[in-house]
Amino acid sequence: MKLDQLSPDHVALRRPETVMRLARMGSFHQSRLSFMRVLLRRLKSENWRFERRAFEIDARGVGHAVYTMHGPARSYSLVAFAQDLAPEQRSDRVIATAWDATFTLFDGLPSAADIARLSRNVPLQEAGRVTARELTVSRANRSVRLFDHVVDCLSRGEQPEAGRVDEVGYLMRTTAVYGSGKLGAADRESICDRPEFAAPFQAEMLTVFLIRGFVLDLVEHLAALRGGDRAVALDPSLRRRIGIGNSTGLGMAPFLLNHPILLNNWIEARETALARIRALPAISPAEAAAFRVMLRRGRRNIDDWHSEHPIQRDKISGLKADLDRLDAHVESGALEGASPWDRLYLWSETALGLEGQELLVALMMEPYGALVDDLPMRMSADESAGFRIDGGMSVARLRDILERDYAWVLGIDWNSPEAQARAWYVSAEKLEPRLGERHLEPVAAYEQPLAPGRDAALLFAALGREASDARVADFLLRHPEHRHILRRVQIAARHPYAEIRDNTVGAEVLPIDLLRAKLSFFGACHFDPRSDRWVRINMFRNAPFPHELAEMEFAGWTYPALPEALS
Amino acid sequence: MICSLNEIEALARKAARGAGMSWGLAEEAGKAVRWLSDHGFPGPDLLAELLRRNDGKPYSDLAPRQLDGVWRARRGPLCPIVAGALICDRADELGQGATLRLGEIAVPLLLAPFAYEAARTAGMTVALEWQGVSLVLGGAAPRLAGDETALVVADAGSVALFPADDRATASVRTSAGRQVSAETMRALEGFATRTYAPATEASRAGAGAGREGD
Repeated sequence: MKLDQLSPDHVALRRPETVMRLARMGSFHQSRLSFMRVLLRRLKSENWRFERRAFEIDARGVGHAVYTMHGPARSYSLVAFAQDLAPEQRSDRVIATAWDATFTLFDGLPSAADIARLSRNVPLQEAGRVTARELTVSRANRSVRLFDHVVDCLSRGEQPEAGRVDEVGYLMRTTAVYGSGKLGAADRESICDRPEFAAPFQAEMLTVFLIRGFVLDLVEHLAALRGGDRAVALDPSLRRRIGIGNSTGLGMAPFLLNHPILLNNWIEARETALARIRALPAISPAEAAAFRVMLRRGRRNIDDWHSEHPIQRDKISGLKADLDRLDAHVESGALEGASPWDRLYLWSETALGLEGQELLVALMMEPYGALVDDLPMRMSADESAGFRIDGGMSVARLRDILERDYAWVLGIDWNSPEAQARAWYVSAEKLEPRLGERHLEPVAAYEQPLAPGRDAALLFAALGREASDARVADFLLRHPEHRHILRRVQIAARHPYAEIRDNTVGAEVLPIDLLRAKLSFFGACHFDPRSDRWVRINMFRNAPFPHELAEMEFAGWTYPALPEALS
Repeated sequence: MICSLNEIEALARKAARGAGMSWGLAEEAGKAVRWLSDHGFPGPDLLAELLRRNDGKPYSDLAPRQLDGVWRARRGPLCPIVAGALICDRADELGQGATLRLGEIAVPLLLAPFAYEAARTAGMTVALEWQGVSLVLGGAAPRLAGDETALVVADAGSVALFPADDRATASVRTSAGRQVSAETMRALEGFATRTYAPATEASRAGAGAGREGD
């Protein structure tokens, strides 16, 4: 069946009122559309070649390395600097000043002079500067629980115990992966016309992919230096189960609010994928078999998901119950008959929790690469395209838009203390976004524009005092304080999934929902919230390594292989 | 220091907000400075000059009013960010062939990005003229005619913006628009600092990653 025969009218996209809720977005899972998977599909289909151009690390773990991927038109090099950090210096906070390893992704092949320049800047992170030749800047810390243990085991000629590896899942975790012009690096706008960067966050994902390869090489290198002839390399299947961890806090939380068109494009792509699959009139036996395998592998992935956070523990146990119900429903013949995917999805809306519904959405895409893999190319956005305000719009038209797209804000009593319990602000101490208690801390005067619901309600009230045929241009001349939200409302009118339809400053808001939504689009797994405002995740777990891309079969690589397939 | 355009835009936005602009106008300032730097003009220097001059002035003083067909501030020179936003919001009038006349205005080159954007919206080419210098905007790179030294004046008597034939003139040189001097950086960071809240113990706790179980 051709794509254009799957008329989007046959099954409508889910409504923004359904999708754009924080509780649902905080239950999103990675999928075929996630940026890590987009990257690896491209590297494999275009036969990108890996080369380790330098690895000069001493027995203490100090030195540098250069890991290069050669593509059809260009090469990119991860330049890694490793250090020997005293334990008391190790912190994942953005306020840290030293890291076990620091990285940059260089555009091309770095010369000795480039390496020397980078060695004076990249290890300093925020205190250093890079140039437009660099695309990203990143850093990582060792897992205290696992790194030394694995080096120790391998140096004695033993493999680490798989259970202990799985419990942590990574040897190093990144604490920032900066792109888009940060610290003087190349602006995204200067590289976004390259096909390899057409989908979002590809330079950042390539950076993390190469970091993972470097870290695994590093432990084996240190083990060999320590153990000499006795030392062994990691068993390849165990090796692949190790990803890169990441700690993400409030710094990332405002991103989705600050990029409304980008958010719209991510969600619209995902919803379009779901609608295309729901529109299929039948499932072939091969597709049904592929889905059953992915369902079982998806279950194994959930079994590997550990969190001690009470909210996430409940969500994981609810998800396991959801998967039991889903499995029983599928085995009772749910994949047979007419429009089976549409019926299965509609069943999930009443039978499963949000975690289960959203995992089903992701799993339904797995057998249908030919149907959905074109969508990531639509997921980037030129945010500036929504910047200009339509000053000729009438006040009456603007009111209509607010009543349609912001109906949810008009029902909230914004004067109640709970409705505005929180305020987003930037702290003078570390210039990072924070979420404060508006009624308890002196932060309201410094509030960032991250409460679109509240601001839309204020705009609506102000418009009530205007003539219906007045022009937006005249209103803004008298009311510059509404310029930010008015721009946003006009963007939301053109982009149905641009706005989150929940109060982002209420007493109940959970910033981890914003983090989960964004990180799921990256392709992260095993979300492990450590509070309501920061989360640990795993990236590229179960993925092939850079040197394995050509030979390894990796459809659905995120999901652990089934035991029978391994033997 | 050579900065990326994203750094320049973010710093300009924060500085404008710190100097008292609404968030929506501060966003306009960020985009305008970015455009100037991208086209070889000293955007951050121009904004620093403007913010120094307008520091502490209430919007009611700067708000443009039209008297005898000329837009003027209630008190003192017009702010080019406020006036620029007005130009963009009225791009449809420009498209109908109108000439926009602005009275005394501070740092007039800061109007150029707005005039460019309004021209793009209206699908036309426009000229922005003051004190014997004319910038032709629309389509490709900005073109210049007349007295180049008037380009970066801190005050202009009056400015006219009107639809123009593309009388192709010299392209504006592209200098190091992304080079930001230490002095300008300090000035803009000084304004930006006003947007940051003093940290409290409560805010520090739990904002980011801790060390337990790592």
